[in-house]
Amino acid sequence: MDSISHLMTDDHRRCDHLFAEAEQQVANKNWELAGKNAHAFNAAILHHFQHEESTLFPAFEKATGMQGGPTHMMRHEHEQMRQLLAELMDAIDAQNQDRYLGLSETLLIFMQQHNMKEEQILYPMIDQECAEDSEQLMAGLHSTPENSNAA
Amino acid sequence: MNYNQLSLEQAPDISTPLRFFLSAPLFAFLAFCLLMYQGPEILSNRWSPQTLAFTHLVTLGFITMSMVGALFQLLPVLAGASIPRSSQLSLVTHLLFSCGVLLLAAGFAFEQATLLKLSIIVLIPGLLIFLLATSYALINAQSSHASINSMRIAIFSLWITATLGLLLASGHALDAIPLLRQFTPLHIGWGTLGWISVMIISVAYQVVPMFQITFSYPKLMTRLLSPSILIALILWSAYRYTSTQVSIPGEAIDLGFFFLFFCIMLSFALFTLKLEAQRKKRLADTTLYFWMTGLSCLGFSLVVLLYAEFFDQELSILVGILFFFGFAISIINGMLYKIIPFLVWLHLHRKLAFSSPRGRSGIPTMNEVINNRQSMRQYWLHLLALVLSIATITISTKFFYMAILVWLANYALLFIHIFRAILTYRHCLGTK
Repeated sequence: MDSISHLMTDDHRRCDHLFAEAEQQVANKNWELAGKNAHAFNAAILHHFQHEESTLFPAFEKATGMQGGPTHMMRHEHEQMRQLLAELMDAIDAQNQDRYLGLSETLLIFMQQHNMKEEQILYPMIDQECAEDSEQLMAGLHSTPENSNAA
Repeated sequence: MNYNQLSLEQAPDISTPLRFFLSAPLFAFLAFCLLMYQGPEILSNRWSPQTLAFTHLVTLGFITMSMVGALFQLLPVLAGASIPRSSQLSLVTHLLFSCGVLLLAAGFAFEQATLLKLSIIVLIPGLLIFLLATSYALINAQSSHASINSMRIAIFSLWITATLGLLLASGHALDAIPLLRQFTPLHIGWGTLGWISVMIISVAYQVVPMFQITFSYPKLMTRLLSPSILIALILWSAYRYTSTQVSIPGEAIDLGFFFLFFCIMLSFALFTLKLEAQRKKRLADTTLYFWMTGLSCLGFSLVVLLYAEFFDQELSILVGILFFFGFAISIINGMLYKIIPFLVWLHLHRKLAFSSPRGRSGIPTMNEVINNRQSMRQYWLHLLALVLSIATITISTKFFYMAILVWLANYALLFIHIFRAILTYRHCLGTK
């Protein structure tokens, strides 16, 4: 059986690939495909945040009784990334290449240091604390927007 | 599991790593000023005190300085264990370490035992504070990722390197302590392989797959590589130590260890280059160029070393240039162009995005903090300086001054880029 760690880490990698495809198309100024890819990336990552915030983090908080610990910091970072993503979507709609690439580089580093903390510290904790409910907790992620609607 | 210490803090105070990063190019600049003053004669004697002054300005002043700054930044993020009182500790460490390195270099350059004694007095607490703080953080680290284990090995190696270094420096400075030259190869081995290389390897495990969007390093490789270096270093040190006590016929054993280190490091270089060639993020930036240059130079340095060992040639200066400037410094320099703009953005975002009326629209992106075109200019200078240095050693010493002038321009430019990034940070805070 898959662990929550594995599943969520795989989802990070899926978002990474969508990110790279969008960035490449922006670099090529292929705006139609770039727009499609960037919006697919945006949808995938927002879905990932939403799954964590509405399912995984509450389960962890309930199991450990911790409200203000690591999950609080992760939610705060999600908020920072949502702001960057909104600006990124503005840049893609305005077909502003310099702005998009400037923002996307910043988002990539922010997203990756956030992912490192989740993959190496938080997810293993969630695996440990929420082992009994893991199937139920994983179920929500499978209905990604990618699966139901390719953006 | 104890979660109480864990906050997944975003980062320590911005000045904590930046003071180290800003100082690093200054030490490298100073190193080349010294070389300019000494002239090309310095190349004829690898062990002259002036050569030692230059080497330590580079290895301690640039390489270790940047890696210490990076550890203050990375440990809380990667390991989930922050360094206690990191802001104050970094200030004290930086002050003591900077003074210690300057005194050490001056002591060697001017052959003044008093300065060397002073440097030992200052470096001991400087290094001890840093080593104790990072060891504490690494012992308490929540993450069991391979890169954390690698960092533990790197810090352990720095303990050994520093102890051997202080013993050797005491031999130079104090009449009462004999100069134990048989420790010199061990000091170099633990410093270059255990500290510098393992630290770069541990960072590579994290940043190569994540920042270039590549496949991960194979688990077997990440589990075995750094521990093999550690075990080989311990065995090699034990062998070296005993061979000075009793006479063991050992050319072949030395060569065997050498070949083992060669295989480990070459596999790291080649595998990382392969990962980067297969990267999903096709858009190349300055950091990627620095990484690729660094890994290629590591490969070249190993091949030259192998050639020198087998054909009994004295090529240590060429190996030194390729390893320190080509490999370690290229990679550190490249990483600075990711870390510094990101820290500026991150701290501005924390301070302004939710509080300033102008909000996030006034916060420069990483590319606006240090532009890729600007950093590429410094990359080309670095590459040109590297080529000229190799030409000085292999073709003619008439390239000597030209190489030094390009290195000086290179470090002045790197300093300006870092300094301007700090000014941008201050300017944005000032106009909120």
